[in-house]
Amino acid sequence: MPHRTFFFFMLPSSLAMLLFIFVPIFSVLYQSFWQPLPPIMGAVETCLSALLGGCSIEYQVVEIPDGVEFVGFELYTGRALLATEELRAAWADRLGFFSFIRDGVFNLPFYKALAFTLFYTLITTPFVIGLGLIVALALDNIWRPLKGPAIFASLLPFIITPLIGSLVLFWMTGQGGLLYDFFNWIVFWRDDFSLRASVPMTWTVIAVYGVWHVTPFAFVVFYAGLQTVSRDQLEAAMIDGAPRIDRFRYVIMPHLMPLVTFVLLIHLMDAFRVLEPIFGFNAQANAQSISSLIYDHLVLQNPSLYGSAAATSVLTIIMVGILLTPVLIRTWRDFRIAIR
Amino acid sequence: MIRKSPALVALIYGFAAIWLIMAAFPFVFTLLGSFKTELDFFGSDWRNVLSGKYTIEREGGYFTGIGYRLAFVQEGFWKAGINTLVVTICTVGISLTFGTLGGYALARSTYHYAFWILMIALVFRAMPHVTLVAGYKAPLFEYGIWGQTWVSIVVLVAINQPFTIWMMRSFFMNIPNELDESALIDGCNRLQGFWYVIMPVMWPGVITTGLFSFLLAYNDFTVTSALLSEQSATMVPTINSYLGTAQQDGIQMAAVAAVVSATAPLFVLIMVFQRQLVSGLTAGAVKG
Repeated sequence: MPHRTFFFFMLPSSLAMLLFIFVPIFSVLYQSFWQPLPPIMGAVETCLSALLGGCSIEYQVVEIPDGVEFVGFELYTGRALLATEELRAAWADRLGFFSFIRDGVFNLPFYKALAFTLFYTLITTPFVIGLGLIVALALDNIWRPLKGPAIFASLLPFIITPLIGSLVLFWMTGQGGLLYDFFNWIVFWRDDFSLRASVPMTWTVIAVYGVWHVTPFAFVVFYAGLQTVSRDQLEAAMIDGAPRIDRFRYVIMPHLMPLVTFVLLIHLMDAFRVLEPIFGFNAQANAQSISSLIYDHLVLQNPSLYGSAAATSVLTIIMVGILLTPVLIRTWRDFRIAIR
Repeated sequence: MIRKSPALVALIYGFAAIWLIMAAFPFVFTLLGSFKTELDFFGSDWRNVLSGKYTIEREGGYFTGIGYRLAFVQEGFWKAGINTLVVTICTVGISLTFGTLGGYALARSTYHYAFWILMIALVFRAMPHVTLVAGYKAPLFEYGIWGQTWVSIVVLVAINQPFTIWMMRSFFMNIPNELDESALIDGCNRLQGFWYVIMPVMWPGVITTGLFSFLLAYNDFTVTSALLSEQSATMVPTINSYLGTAQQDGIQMAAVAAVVSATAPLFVLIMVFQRQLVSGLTAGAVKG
């Protein structure tokens, strides 16, 4: 296709991406260096009653100025983000490595959010792929007329709005709820085992939601892969007397491996921006993800903390870039081989 | 084929049954619960949702429309439904138009820059939406256009683009290049060839991509909840706003009814377009 034609065909789409994805990156970068002017403090004499002479001089906010000031990297190093000062102080206390991590690092909002996001991403990934594979194998082998309805039901957790999906589960975790009763039946040695109160349980429940939400995607991809496994190879393996487990290991799995990589890539990208379950499970007190931290600064705080939301965004974009670098390098290598 | 052993068959069906219950039951349960009173659904025993103990006692029937009445009559949830309709239709229409043109160009170009555009699109696809919203919100306030529906539509279209052009490209790759060439030889220009020759065989791909654009716009929480005001809010942010005010009496049931109402169109969508959804989910995977 000639350059000119390509340009005109590509114009609307690339203009949309340029203006509303590329430019905002610079917008957050710019915003991350500015902060509203600090409130002006001043001595104010307040008199409770003139008769008693109860006048006192108090130091308080006299004016909240309008406008912003350039603060350089202050927002990045401040307490809300990387908190270099706090970390240095905690390290200087020499509490030992474990308590430095627990009391020093995990008390800081950004590191707490980063820890949860990484936890969610890393813990859900193997379960999504494993469970997706098992579901695909099971549903591929059921009676044919049942397959259509089974796929329909399996798609529900993935297609339905994440906020709604997490709410539907959240409502079942309250005291007397179905999931609450189920877990209390499993954990029979504990009375009133709450799924909402503690930090570890909140993290676990959200991770369970994550697996439940994404497994259908992995399942559908693997299921489609199973339909294209070469029948000839399978038959040849059978004639050679390979047991079922070996046929799975040496014929089916190698065929599915590229699909595993694909699911992995998509899931890593989506899990890293996890946001809705934090609100669906009403879990902001026990779990914040990086996205929910930015959302909190941007939408829930009044007035919005544009500066720190932007600085957190910049760090997030950098982390996504690091996450994607191996993929990009690999794709570039494949592409160079392909065009040679 | 060698017959499976009974133990393996039992394992397969047992596992399939457990998974299907896990996947579908929570929605069925909530659907049933939305026709109950708050005491049953949020009460001390989930079995009341099935038996309808308090609903029968207080409302005199196994089903009650009290939650729906609250949501639609008192809270005006239908307005959010109309907003969602406007936002999704506009988003799908515009992103498909842009994405079809772009995807076609990317599928037919053999130059390096086409590859780089795809790679950049992949990076854009990976960026958390909330980081983009952080870029928009302050300027939108500055220009006084925050909270307007069209702003959200434009933003959703842009966020949709990386995904749309990737998917469209993979569908166009399936259409042989010879078709274009024969159209060009017959005297069409590129645009005519695209419109009269390629598009007629491309509709399945357009429908599939459209479904996913629809889902992205319909399911979006980040953009719509951050950029829409209360009057222009779509269904998902509206549901979220009910959660914050959960203390008011009965409004929790409005949230349940709203959740079920917002799920219903998706239910129908999966039923009608199951085949296209499955092919769309795997489109990226099979061709990489």
